[in-house]
Amino acid sequence: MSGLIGSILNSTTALKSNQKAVEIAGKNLANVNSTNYARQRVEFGISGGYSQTQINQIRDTILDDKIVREAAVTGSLEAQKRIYSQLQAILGEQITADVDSPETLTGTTTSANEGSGVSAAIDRFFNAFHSLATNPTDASARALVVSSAEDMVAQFNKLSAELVTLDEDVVRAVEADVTRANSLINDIASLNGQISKLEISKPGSAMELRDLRQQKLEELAKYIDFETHDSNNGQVLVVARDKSPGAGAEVLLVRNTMVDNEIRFNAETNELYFTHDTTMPLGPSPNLTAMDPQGGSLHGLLHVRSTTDPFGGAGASAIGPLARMREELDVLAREVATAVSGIHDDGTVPVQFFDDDDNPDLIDLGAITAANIQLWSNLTPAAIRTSSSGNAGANDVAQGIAELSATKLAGLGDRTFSEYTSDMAYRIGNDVSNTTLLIQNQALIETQLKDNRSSLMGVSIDEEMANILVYQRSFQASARVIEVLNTLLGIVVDRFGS
Amino acid sequence: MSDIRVSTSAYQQSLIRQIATNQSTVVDLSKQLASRRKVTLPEDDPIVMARTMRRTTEKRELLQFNTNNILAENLIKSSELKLSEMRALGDLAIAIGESTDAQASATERESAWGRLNDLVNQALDLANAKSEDNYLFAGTDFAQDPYRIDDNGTPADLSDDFVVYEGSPTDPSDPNFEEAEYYVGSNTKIAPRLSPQYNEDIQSYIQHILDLRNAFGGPTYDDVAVKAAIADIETSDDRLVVATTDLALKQLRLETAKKADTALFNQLDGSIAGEVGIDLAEVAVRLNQAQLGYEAALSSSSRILQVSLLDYI
Repeated sequence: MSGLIGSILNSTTALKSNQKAVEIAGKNLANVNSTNYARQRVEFGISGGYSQTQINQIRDTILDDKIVREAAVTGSLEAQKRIYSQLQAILGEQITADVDSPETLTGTTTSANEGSGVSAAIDRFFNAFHSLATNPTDASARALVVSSAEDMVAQFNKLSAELVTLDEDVVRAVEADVTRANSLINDIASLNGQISKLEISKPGSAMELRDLRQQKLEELAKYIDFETHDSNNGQVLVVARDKSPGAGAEVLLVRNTMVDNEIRFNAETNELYFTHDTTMPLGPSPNLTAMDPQGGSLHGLLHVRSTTDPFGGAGASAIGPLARMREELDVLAREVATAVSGIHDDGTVPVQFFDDDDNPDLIDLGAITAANIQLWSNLTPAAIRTSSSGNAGANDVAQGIAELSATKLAGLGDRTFSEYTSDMAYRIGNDVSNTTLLIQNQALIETQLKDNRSSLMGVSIDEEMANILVYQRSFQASARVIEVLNTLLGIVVDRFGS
Repeated sequence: MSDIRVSTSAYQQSLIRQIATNQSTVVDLSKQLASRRKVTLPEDDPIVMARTMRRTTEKRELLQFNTNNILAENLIKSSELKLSEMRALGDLAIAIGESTDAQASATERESAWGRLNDLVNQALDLANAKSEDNYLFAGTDFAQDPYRIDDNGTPADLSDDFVVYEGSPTDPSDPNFEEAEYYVGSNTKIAPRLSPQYNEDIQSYIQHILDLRNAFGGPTYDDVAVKAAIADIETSDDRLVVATTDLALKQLRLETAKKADTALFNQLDGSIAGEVGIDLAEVAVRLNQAQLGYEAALSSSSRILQVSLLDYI
């Protein structure tokens, strides 16, 4: 049995334990809105008959890992959706008609001839030829053909330029994300160092630093997918995968306190590389190992730009939408030029319609793209060829060109121009809506996981307040014990001390 | 029964998500109500968007064909009018020929010659008539007047004059034969000018009026020549009736095409409205429901979030 003095000392320990418990409850309350904060709990143990405290953190590493993985999936989808939405806006196809006000064929006002996008421009171009076919000698009909052709060519050039700009924007976004990812990789290595120092003697004690590292890991997952492995003294290894056959080989990004590899981007090859030496000049160097990201914004952005099937299969569907739209526009421009010139041009230099450059004497229709398509520089309204006989009233050439609008062309995959452009709109619309749907599903998964994690490690004000009341009462009780012991000790000292 | 622990932030986030979901629904429905469309961008419904684009292209084409139809109709009506006027000249020529007989004096025959000569010139003017600055009865060749009188190398001798046609070939078997066809409806392609083979009939018609004129050019009345020329004019007139019928049939095709296209246009418009448009009443009711839900979410959330154990200790 301990004496009165000993009892006072032991009660003081209880007092301190309850004081600590109130402090932890206060800390929990202070972090009620911190996303990655894992609530701390005071465990009251018994040592020599009196309570001793131990502080634990409530964290589920399995849930943490799942959340990291899902963050990578979301990061990729969100990056893709951002670009798909821009592609959709660039294509410019939208319904503007007031569907509540029926139009009539003979009505004086109609919105059908309005409309944005390349499809409307192509329609107007071929309809101008339909108009010219009714009266090949009409100067205004000829002028309309030239102006509608100029509009269509301008649309192609504009779309192409906007796609180039978007591609440059995506490259800049990749570079920015790589910089941010590398910064996070360094942060994680640095946090590993701080955690290992603190936890040498007391494993699991660097709780706030672990929270911070988890936050950095989840942030990093938004940019690139990776896996973590536990290492010594509370440190983690961060690994990504290269393009080795199969699932790819693991390559270390963070080895304990060291950054083993950073990420580098080469816009030309559209690849990410592991690199030890960040000062090494870029290029498709055999010394650099290419990454094989499967998640994160970097995966999404690289996929958008991809010009090859990332899964090794055939078919344009696997090509990134940005590259695909550029290719589709080039095909469209080339087919318009080839088909029209095939009827219009008579094989002599003086009669041409489209050109790929400013040299009127050298025409290479096969080299035409959406970026370089232009009207033959010597083309004037009067120079438009409307008939093969040369008779002023004949219209076989003009009519032949007009009828191209409804012709299924092999170069367009046996589709008409209208079918081809509507398919383009369908594909990008499908990309946006599918990605939106996937993001919504992904949000549900993430919400579910985060709710699960939050139910475990999140702070509840009600719970903490209740705990504070309990700890307060315990503290008061312990204080009362000390007071009583002190009284007893006073009696002993007063009676026997004199 | 095990209790599910709910953290304060999860609780708050859940309420905020509910508010955001309701708000998003309200915004979507408001947009639909304002534009009266449920599809504006490809992402709204890619399949409907693609179909609407193709239908809009069809509508644009129908509008163009309708314009072509109107132009073709004008051309046909002008041609019909000129042919009708030409036939009236033929009737007048026959009347002159029949009223100037063997009893007519030389002066009366000369007068008949003069009036018939005037009718020939009027008929030539009608045959060379233009619409929108292009000859009506020249086929596709507008390089010169399609009809003229050739003096046969003897300008002073009018009796051997004859009518020449210089438009595009009139024989369908001629390799250079051509007609300027174009679309006047989604499935109707016609050449609204008078079919070139009838241009030869116009030439013959004027030639026979000319023959009648020449029959009065001799020193005496030539009964045989006059009667032959009158008979020829009457035969040629039958050919012009056939030519007019040719134009009338084209006119009929124009009208049929216009009717069919009007129906098709309305059908396309209806299909677009059906797929793209909204049911105003339904969306208005849904918006009302969504607004109520949104307000309820706001109200309940604000009440719930205001209360905690802090209020009771």
